[in-house]
Amino acid sequence: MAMSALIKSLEDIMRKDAGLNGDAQYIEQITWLLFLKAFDAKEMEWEFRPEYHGVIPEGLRWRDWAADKEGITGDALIAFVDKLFSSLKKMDTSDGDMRKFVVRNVFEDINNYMKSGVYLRQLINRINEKVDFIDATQKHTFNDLYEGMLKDLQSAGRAGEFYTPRPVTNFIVEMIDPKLGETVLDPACGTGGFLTSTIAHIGSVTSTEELEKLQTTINGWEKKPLPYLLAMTNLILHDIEVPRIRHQNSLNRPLSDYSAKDRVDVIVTNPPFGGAEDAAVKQNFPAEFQTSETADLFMALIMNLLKDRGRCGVVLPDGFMFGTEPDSKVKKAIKEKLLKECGLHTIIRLPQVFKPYANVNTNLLFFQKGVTSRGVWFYRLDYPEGVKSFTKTKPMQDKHFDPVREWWADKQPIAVDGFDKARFYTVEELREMNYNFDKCCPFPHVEEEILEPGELIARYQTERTELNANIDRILKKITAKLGDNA
Amino acid sequence: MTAQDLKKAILQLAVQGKLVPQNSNDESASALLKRIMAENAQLRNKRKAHSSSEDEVPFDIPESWEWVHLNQIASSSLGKTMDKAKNSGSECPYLCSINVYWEGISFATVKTALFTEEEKCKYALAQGDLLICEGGDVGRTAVWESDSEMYYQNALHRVRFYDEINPYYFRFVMEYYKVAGIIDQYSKGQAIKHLVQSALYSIWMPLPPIAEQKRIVTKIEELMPFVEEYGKEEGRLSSINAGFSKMLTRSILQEAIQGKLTERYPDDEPASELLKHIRAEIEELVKARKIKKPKKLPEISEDEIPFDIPEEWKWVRLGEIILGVADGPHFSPPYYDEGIPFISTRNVAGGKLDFSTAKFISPELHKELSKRCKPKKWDVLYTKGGTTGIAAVNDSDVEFNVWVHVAVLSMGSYVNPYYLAIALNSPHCYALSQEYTHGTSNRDLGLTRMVKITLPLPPFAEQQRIVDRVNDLLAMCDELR
Repeated sequence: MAMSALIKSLEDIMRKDAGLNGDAQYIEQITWLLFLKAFDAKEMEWEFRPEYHGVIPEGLRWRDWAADKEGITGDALIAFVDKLFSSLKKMDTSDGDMRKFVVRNVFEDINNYMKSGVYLRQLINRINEKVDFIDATQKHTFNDLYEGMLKDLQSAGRAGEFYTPRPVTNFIVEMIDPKLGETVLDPACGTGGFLTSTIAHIGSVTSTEELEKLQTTINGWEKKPLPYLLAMTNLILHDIEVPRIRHQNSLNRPLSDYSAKDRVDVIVTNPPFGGAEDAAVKQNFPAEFQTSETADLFMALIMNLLKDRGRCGVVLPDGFMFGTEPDSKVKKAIKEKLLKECGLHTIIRLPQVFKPYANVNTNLLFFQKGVTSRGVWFYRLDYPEGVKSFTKTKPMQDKHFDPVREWWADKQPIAVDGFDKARFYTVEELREMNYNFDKCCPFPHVEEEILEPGELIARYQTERTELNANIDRILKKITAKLGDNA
Repeated sequence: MTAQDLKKAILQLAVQGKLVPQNSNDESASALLKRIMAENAQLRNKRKAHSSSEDEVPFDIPESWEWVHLNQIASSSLGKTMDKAKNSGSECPYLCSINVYWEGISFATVKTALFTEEEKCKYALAQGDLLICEGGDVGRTAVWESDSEMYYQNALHRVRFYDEINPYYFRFVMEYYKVAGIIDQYSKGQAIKHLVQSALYSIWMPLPPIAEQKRIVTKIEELMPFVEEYGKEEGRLSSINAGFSKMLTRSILQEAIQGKLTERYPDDEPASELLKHIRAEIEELVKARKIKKPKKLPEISEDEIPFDIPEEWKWVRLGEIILGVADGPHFSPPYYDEGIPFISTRNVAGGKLDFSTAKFISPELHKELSKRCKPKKWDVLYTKGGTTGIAAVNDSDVEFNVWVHVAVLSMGSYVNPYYLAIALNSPHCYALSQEYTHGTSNRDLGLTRMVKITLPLPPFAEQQRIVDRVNDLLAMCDELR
């Protein structure tokens, strides 16, 4: 069913409640309700197992108090919900059932804001009416739901918190090809899109050993409580009973603290861009990587967290490619390391696939630690024939990546209308261009492209700095020649 | 500093003897001159060129150099005069000014003519000859480097140096003199300039020792590739600088209409409500017969929405939010030296109403025209002919009228004219205006199409906040120019 219509109707109900202020609280309100409903759906499945002990205490399960549309409402409901929250936050985990930890961790940071039991009941009933987690296909609508809500959250744009379009996550996971048993990490997992894509890629597991392996090798870290909650729910729906998602700021730990036991075989991720970290966080990183740009710090983290021969697929903005002042020194250091020690081998340049949330061009970088790169293949994915841009109703689809898949199988240079579309650059060539990757297979400059002022200024400054540097270099040579009277 | 400036500076150093050091072992220029006098009988017969005096020469030169006139160190003559009637002999190739460039000799178009044997002798070119344009781009010089058979015509001076004097050195001297404006001082003529032989001979030229001439030429040739490279980078820098300010302005306007420069205030009435007020206002005025009933416009489809806007805003068509649109007469009225200002596209094209180049019409005609179209203060003027799609607010108290190329948009109390101008000038609306503009030489943005232009409508109070923000930012941008 149309997610945006559902969200609008849920928001219409919530808007009437005096306790809710603004989009951020709407989301929080919906997410815990969805979590409890989804969790109960899972409990119903688990009950078929022998020796199953329930997780959420009787009386507090969704089916007990929420499922019946004529159930408690009004002030009684509000009082009940308060009791529910305090019980869940203090849930007794002495029997060691990890799923109890899950519930407790999830509710640690969550609140009920609604003041009117009547509206809350309306909200619950509407959710029951429209969202059915037993139905397999509904599981996939979960990310759509979050996506719809994120769109309303204007501030999400500022925080760089984006939902990565599924065709992008699917493509990255496909190319990285994680196998069952390999440790997989997304250190900025958001709602868990990359992780669920990995699970889908690995395919159905049959034996209990395999299920155990899957459960213990898929990992995610997420800083914000809302996406953390949704990621947990998402993985639970994907049959990961105790999702290994840590609610933490990946950048808050000194890089040197990480050791072999933390390292993983595969990292697939879309770190937040445009974010700025404070000085304390910067200090966690070695000098050559100290910057306030969040995405760059993540790159330093990722390179550290990979095992030797570990593989990575990551989404980065154009800003990383051309290197924005004054942090371009750090970006340069990262690129140098990617080439020297992390076997950077392919970069796929995407058009604006995050529209209409954000008008940014992004790039997919693929590399492998412990390998020295000979050079990088660049490939520019153009909009399909006849498509000027992706929209909410006509979003990007998996099949739009088919040309890249075809090309990847046997990488050859391609030029279209005199512009490079696919081309191999040696490490030397990249060094000569001062690691300005933006020059490689760029999108031909179309008059219509309107860059955001920030990006426009950054690009101008980078170009100007580069030109000034070139000019100075040439003038230096001229001066030397003038003085050289050998 | 342009590449041209850089080159000029290098050449200046060269001709002043400051590019390469002097070498005391070199035979001095004065010794060279004495030797040349001895070797060349013709020179002994000529009047001795008087030595230069301090005030005649343009700059100082090293001790070992000498100031000379060309006829002291070379023999020079103009080429064959072409006269179709009188030419006879065999068909020979010859050079004229279209073959002589600073970069070298061009063989793109080599003419031929009949030369007699005598003429062939007289007008043959030899390797090392310096060719100087007598007319056209006066003073343009190149060295003939080939040993193939070639002749030349009277638009060129052929300068053949005595002894081992280096023609390339003198080619650089000519180039410096050209960019320094010295050649033009010696050229005569009003419309078409010429550098006659006597004038050429009267130019003082600095003569270094022969060995030093070679060193200078080598040095300049080593430097030129760098100067060229510099020219390329500097050219790119100029062009990005020129483009940047404009691009930044456009980017800011686009941000403004997406709601990215301002915040929502909870007390603001959302645009959906605003639109209701606008419709009510329009209805009232239609009932009172003050305005025409607006035509119904099609709903805005998903495809027409290029970006998301805040929830409190609404996508609308221009025609939905204005009280009316009108344009001026389709004929050109009689103009006078004074009267009522009559404006067209050029008076609006800068984004601001500018009367400085306005024409004038009679008050009577203005009264007539006002029945159909009368610009009021706070209307928005929008160009629809020639350069289309540019909006400016009428902030003037002066009464004026417009030609057909300018549309007058009037709004009610719920649309801020400055916001409307910002929106219309944004890349989004501008692109639409261009899409709706028909024709190539006679460009026309018709009123029926114009009103279909889509734009985001913010809550009323936010419109003013946007205007203020944009004005602040654009003022800062102006400082970049």
